[in-house]
Amino acid sequence: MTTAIRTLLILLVAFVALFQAGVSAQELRSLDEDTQALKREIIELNRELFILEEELLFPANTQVVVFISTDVGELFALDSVRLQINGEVVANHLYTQREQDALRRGGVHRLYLGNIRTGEHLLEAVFIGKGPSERDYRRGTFLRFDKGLGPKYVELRIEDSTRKQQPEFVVREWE
Amino acid sequence: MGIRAHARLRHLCTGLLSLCLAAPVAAVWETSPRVRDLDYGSVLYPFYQQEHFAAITRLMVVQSRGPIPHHEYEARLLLGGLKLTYGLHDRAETLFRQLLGPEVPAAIRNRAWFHLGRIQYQKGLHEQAEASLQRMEGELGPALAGERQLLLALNRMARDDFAGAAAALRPWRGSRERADYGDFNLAVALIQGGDREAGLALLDRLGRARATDAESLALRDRANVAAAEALLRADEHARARALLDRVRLDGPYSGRALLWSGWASTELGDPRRALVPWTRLQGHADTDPAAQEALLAVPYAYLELGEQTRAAAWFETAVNTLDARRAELRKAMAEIERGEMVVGLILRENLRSAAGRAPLPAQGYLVDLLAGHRFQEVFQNYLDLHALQRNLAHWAGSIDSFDDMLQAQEALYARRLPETRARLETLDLRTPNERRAELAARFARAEQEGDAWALASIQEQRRRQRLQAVEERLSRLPDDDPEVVELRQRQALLQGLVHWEVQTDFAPRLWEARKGLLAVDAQLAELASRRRSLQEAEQHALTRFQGFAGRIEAQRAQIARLQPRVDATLAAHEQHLQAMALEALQAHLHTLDDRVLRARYTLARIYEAQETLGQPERSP
Repeated sequence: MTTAIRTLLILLVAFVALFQAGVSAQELRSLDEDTQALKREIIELNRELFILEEELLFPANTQVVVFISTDVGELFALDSVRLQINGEVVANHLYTQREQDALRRGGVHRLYLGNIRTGEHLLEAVFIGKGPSERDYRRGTFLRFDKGLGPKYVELRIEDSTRKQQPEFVVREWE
Repeated sequence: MGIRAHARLRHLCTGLLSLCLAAPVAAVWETSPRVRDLDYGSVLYPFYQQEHFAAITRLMVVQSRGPIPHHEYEARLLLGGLKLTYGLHDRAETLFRQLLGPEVPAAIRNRAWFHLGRIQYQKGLHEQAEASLQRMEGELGPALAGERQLLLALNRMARDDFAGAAAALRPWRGSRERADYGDFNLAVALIQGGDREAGLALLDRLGRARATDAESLALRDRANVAAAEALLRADEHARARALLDRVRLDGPYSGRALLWSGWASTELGDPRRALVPWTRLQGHADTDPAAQEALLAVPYAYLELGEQTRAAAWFETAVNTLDARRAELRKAMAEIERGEMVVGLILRENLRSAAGRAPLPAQGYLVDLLAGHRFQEVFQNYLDLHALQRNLAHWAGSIDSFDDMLQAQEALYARRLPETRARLETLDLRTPNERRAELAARFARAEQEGDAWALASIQEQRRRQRLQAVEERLSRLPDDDPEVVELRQRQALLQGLVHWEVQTDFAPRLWEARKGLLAVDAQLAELASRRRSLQEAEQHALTRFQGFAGRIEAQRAQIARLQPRVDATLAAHEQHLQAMALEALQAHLHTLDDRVLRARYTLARIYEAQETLGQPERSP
């Protein structure tokens, strides 16, 4: 009796589940197609809006972008960075663990996007973090650069100098 | 035998294999040795933080500016993977298909074939999936090689090609960390393919393996349960029971193991021994299906032992407990209908700490549903739509500030226009250009005629003139005066010296002059470019402002059009999630109803028998 009831129960539950699953699968397919279409449209719109925002608020002839990147990053764990342009603090960023990991894996953080006039400017950055042997570490670097008619990209790169066993802070201009 | 092990075993295997489908991009993503394009790096930054929507948008913005020189193919593969993760299967498939040509580096092409194979597998296109996975060639690297083997095996098992699935997994080429998963699936394929003992031997090894972390402990339990299931199917109850005894009592498979251990004892004609695991199951949460099944299994065992009074007492307890569960289920179903489950799920997603994890309605009954692929897919879409709803709300707020910004720019432009025009008018490039042309002609003439004095400094010219004047004055003095003769000699020497200096310096001076001319050219070009830029800015300003205004308006309309669609689709997802939960709970309720019915029926028969025999009633 035990086995018979158990078998009956399994069959009954399986039948109910099968019937309901069939109806749901069809609904789900239609819902999934609608959702895919909606996502596609919003992604396109989002892209357009980002481009519009950048073109409107940061036109190429005044645009300056500052990126932070790391190479290896074993000798320095970046906690925060402060950025000044012509003596004015324009960005201050405290890095989370996830952001630090993303940097270590090759991600590049777009720290600052702003506008400056053509001509000569001074960029200063202060990096705070943990250096070799977990010691507190604070280092600054600067760049005098000339802003022409096109957008200006500046990369602040933290590199490991295995020879010196110290981190190095390299500034590089991109056109 | 009461178990339909075949179907469950396949489910078990699918559950493990599906791990390889859980993280589509991240699982097989290998970073370039060095990121050489800033823009590409700026896409990886959100990608590595699992912010897929931000990464997709950033990548599409970057691509709209032109090719990414050093990471073009990687970027396209990444976009395909991101779209796949984001549920845009069709777009992802199109992107992967564009990366299959011979011009694409093999490492990228292989990953494109892999992703394509996975999409085809998920669509049930098993032959096409097999063909795609077979197109992968050369050195794949352990991560991709292992995922390919698992997917190949899964795809072949879906076609009941168990021998092929086993062949796909041998030898294991993936990472060491995933080797046990490879072996588990190989064991399942061997058992299903008929080579039961080889499969059982593998599961036995996995079931005895040293394990310390939660994942490997769970895999060890799962191997023991899977092996026991295969043995129960073959009516080898004693061997099965020995394997079930290895399963941890506090692990996720303990309920199933205890229940089956009892069944194995019953089949071996030892219902008293069956009572040990089943009684232990009473300590489990009574929403656990195994514990509910044991509620009835215990009195049935007592019945088989002839202990009717004790059996009756257990059946009464079972009826009371199951009735209470039924009431709880109905209450939970009402809560779900009021939308409380979805709210709870969102709270859990946002508050990942244990403190934020308030129990969901009927959570114990929904464990399998919540962990299932179908529910997860719908819920992920639901979360994505929520994020898109916030995204649209953000833009709906910002688009007005775009208008303000545009108006401010127009006003600023109008204010500065007269001043700029005035400056443009004074900025006459004709004079410097003419002066430059004169200089160039002078240098060319000097070179052609070998006229070193054309490049002499003003000081040298003056010195020369003074020496010529001295010569002139000396020529008027008497020739026979020895002092005059000496002065003439000194004048000639000095003149020769100056001439020699100018002549010997001619070539370097000519080079310097040309260099200077080039610098002038660059400055003139910069000046011309700024002038042109100003003129163009003036000419295009109006068109530019109108263009921006048009784009802002079009996108404002697009936002307004999309917002209600997102709201409606979100509501549909919420209803669907609720319906799925209610469907699962209805099935549980049905099972409970049936169990209560069985218990009451058997109880009635016991009381009937006791009355017939005139025995004392209803005492434990």
